[in-house]
Amino acid sequence: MKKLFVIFALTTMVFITRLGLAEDSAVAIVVHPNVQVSDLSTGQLRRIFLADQQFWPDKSRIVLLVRAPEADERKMVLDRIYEMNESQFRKYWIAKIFRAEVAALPKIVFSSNMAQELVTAIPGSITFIPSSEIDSSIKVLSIDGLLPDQPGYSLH
Amino acid sequence: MNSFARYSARLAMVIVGITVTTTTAAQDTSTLGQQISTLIFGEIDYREREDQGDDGFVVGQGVAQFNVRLDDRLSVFTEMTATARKDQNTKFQIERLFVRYDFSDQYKISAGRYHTPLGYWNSAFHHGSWLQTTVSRPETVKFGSNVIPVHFVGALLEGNIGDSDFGYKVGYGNGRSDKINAPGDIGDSNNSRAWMVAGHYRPPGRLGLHTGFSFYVDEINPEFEPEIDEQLFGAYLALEREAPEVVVEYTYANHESSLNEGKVSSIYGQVAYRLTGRADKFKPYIRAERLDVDDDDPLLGALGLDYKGVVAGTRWDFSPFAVLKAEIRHEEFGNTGSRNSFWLQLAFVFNPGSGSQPYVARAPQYRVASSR
Repeated sequence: MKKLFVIFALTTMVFITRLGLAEDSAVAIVVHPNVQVSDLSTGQLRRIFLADQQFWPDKSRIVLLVRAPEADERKMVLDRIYEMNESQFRKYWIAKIFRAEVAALPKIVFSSNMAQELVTAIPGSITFIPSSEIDSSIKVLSIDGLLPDQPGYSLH
Repeated sequence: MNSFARYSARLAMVIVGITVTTTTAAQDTSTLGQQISTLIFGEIDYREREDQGDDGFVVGQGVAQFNVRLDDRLSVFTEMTATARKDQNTKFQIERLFVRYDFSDQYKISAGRYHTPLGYWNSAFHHGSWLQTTVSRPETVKFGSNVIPVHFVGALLEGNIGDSDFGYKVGYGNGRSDKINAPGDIGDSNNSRAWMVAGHYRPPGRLGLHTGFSFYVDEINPEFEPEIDEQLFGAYLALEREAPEVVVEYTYANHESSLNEGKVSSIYGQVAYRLTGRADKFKPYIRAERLDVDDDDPLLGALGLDYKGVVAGTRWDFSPFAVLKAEIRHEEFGNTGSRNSFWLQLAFVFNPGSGSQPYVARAPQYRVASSR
């Protein structure tokens, strides 16, 4: 009985810890400081990440930066924005480039730090970073009018 | 050196050449950096056909595609193929080559050689066997088809309609040459341009809906035949997803000469379903197709193109970038009767320029050290 209690307690702790991480792990959509956009609808966000929209309203080119596989924020973006698994995501971009619907593939980034440095360096760029890891110099977009720290934000 | 060795050597030279080009381009440090994305597709087939010779292993088509973004708005797209032939001479061909300038999402203008954006299949899979679920293309849109003009040489205006999920394409070009299954690569043989319009609707989302139509008009002067007016109409509906994947495509053509008039209609439907759980690498599929050509059709009536066929098979994605497909076919041809056949296809794709991440471009000019 004691063993069962210990197992139950440990399992509960692990569950609560994971729940806590999930609660804190909102993904922020960030852009280059000169991008003249501060809010996107979920539909617009999807069109940009799917490269169905390749230009900002001021006609500058959108440069998409995507985190390398295995990162939690990538899994969330694939699930919530792309609505694809890794295999479908890979096939989507191979088809996209083969159909000449895009001239270049997304650039891969290997860490949140790299994503922040590139998104501030490349004009027109957009990427996603865990909200807990962004610093004050980064321009964060609201999605459907909500920022990552607000209730109802869609990328929690 | 035998034909296979010659084919392999030449294909390797093409791949190596492109890889070198890729590496060089990746080191460009102009304002945005010229970016080049390369894909190599290949296939090895095995076939057994009733009452046919030349069965056994077949070296399939090798395909090299590279897209180069010259600057923020100007891009070059190229697709080249190497095809082994019975006469031992490997055929190299530029399938697509066009230059495109993107004014915006709504207006992109290009000129060059394309796969005619007629219907779905011809502009969805091109020569990438790995991309398509089945071993074969539908009979109506197979390469070398006489039914539709597979290639188009000219100019194309395309884009989204506003900020919606609707899109359009308007084309103007040479159309068919006097050899009707080939485009006018070096000019319009009868100086009468073809034109086409197409529209599509493709909303994002799990459903993967993609539907559209196309309309194509040309005036053709086939070898030793009177002038023929051609109108083609196509419509399609596809669910671009894994479970289920659905493609239904209809093509209708009208041909009219001073002597007679005829109609061609074609429809195929394909359904595939990715299995779940431990069998999730397998995707069974089935396709049924019918092609009817009026005997009086002045362009195609004498060619015996009537066709009915059913293909069924399974695709096994045993690797992220390679697939084995097994397919059986029962086909009835208007000019040669019915035939059963069995096909295996090993198809693969890779990107020689990006190591183990074939779908992600490198950006060495922006690479920074990471502390996290």
